[in-house]
Amino acid sequence: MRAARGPKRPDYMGNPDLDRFMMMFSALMSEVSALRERLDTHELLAVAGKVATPEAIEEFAISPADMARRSALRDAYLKRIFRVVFEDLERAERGPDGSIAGPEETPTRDSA
Amino acid sequence: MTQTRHAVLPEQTHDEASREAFCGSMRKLFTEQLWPGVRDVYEAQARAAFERRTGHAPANVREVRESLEPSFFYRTANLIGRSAQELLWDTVGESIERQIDDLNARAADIHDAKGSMRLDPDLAVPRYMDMVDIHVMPGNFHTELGEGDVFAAALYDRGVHHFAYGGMGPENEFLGIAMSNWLKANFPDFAPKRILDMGAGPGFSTLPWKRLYPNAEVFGVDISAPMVRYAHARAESLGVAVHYSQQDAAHTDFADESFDLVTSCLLTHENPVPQIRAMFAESHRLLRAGGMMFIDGAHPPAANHEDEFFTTWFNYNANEPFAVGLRKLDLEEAFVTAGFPAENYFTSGAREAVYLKGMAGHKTRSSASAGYRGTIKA
Repeated sequence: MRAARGPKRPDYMGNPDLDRFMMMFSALMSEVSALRERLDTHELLAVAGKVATPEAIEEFAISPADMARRSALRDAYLKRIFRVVFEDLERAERGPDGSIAGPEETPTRDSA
Repeated sequence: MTQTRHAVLPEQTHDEASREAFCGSMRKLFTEQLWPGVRDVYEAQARAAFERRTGHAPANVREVRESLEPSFFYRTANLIGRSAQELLWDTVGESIERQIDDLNARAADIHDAKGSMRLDPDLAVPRYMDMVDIHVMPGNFHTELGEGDVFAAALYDRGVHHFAYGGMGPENEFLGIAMSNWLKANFPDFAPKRILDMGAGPGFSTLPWKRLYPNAEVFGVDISAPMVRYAHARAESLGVAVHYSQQDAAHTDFADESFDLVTSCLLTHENPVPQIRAMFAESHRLLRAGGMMFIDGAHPPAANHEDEFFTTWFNYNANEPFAVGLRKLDLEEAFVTAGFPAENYFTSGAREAVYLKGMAGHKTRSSASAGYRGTIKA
C-alpha cells in the first residue's frame, strides 16, 4: 500500500512529470546516503579490527557520537546537492542592493 | 535519538535505518531552512515584486501564494518538503511490510495484561476518514490489511519519530508529557481518578497521563483497530496499564458522568468541525460535575493573511484538509455549545511548539502553537 488517497499531488514545477522526477531523485539521494553509511560501517569495523561480513554489519551498534557525525554528514550532503536552491535564498537574504536578482532575473515557471 | 524498544516496535536492518534517517534529515532541511527561507524570499523580494506588478501588496492568502509562484526557491522548497513527506512513508512502509506478520504475531502475544483491549469489528469508518489519507500516509490511521493487523500503527510510530527527526522523544511522548505537566502544575489539587484519551493512536499521549497520575484508571479510544491492537501491546510492553477500546470518540459506550478528565492531543485538527463539536458534546456527557475537558489541538492563531499562509503548509501540501476549518472555529464558543459554562474556559495561551524543542536546530517562525484549551463541567 504505497499510494495515498485524497487530493492529487499539488503542482510545483508547472509540470507534474518534473515533480515526479524529484520524487525519484529523492529516493536515489536516500540510496546514496545509505550506501555511504554502509561504507562508514565497514570503516568503523575495520578500525575495531573486525571483518565487515553481512552479519557483522547488521549486528554493528553505532555509538551516539558516530550517529551525530553521520547526521551532520547528511546535512552537508543535502546542502551540496541543493546548492542552486540555496543560491536563490542567499541572493534574497543579501538585502536590497545591486546584487539582488530582481523579479525579472528570477527563473520563471516557463524557464524552469 | 533512537526509539525506546517495545514489543511491537518495528526492527530495522542496517540500510533501513540509514534510509529512514535520511528522510529525517530531509525533513529537517525543509523545516529549519527551506520553509523559513520562503518567508525571507517573500519579505526581501516577492512581496515588493508583486506590489510593483499589481499596484498593491498581497492582500490575501491567494495573493501571497501568487507573489511567490515565480520564485524557483519557493517552488523547489515546497517540492522538497512534499518529496520528504512521501519518501518517509514509503521508506518506513517498505521496512514494515517485510516484517508485518511478525509484528502482528507479537501484538497478539500478550500475557498477564495490566490493561485491556476491546475491538468492535462492526464499527463503521466515517466517510471523512476514508476520503483522504492524512499526512499523505497511505492507508490513513485506520486501514486494516488483514486479521490482527497493526500496519498503520507501526508505520505511524516509526514515521512520526523520523518526521520530527527524533524531536518528539524516544516514545514520541514529549507532547503528552508537556500537556499533562502543564495541567498538573496549573491545577495542583485536581486528582483525576478516571481519565479518557480520545483519538489515542499508538498511545503517545496516553502513557504520560498514567505515569503522571499512577492511581488513575486510564482509558484510550481510537476508531482504528490497528491502532488499538498496537497501543495495547505497546503499553503492556512498556509496563503501563491502559484500557484501550475501538470506538468513535464522538459516540462511545461509556456511562454518563464516568470520567474526571477527558483529553486529546493533536486530534481536533485532523477532524471536520461537526465531528469536533460531537466529540466536545460527548466529553460533556462523559464528565462528572467538576470534571475537566482538556485539549492540545488548537491551530496557531494567524495575525494576518501572511501568517495564515506561512502556517498552513501541511493543509495544502500534506493532506491536512480539516485544519483550516478548525482555525475558523471559536473553541470558547464550541465548548459553551457543548454544554460547558462560559466562565470555566481556560487556556495556556500561545506557547512554543514543544516538538521543536528536541530538535537540533533553531526554532522556525512557524513553530508557535495556540496552546492548551480546557473547561470544567458545572
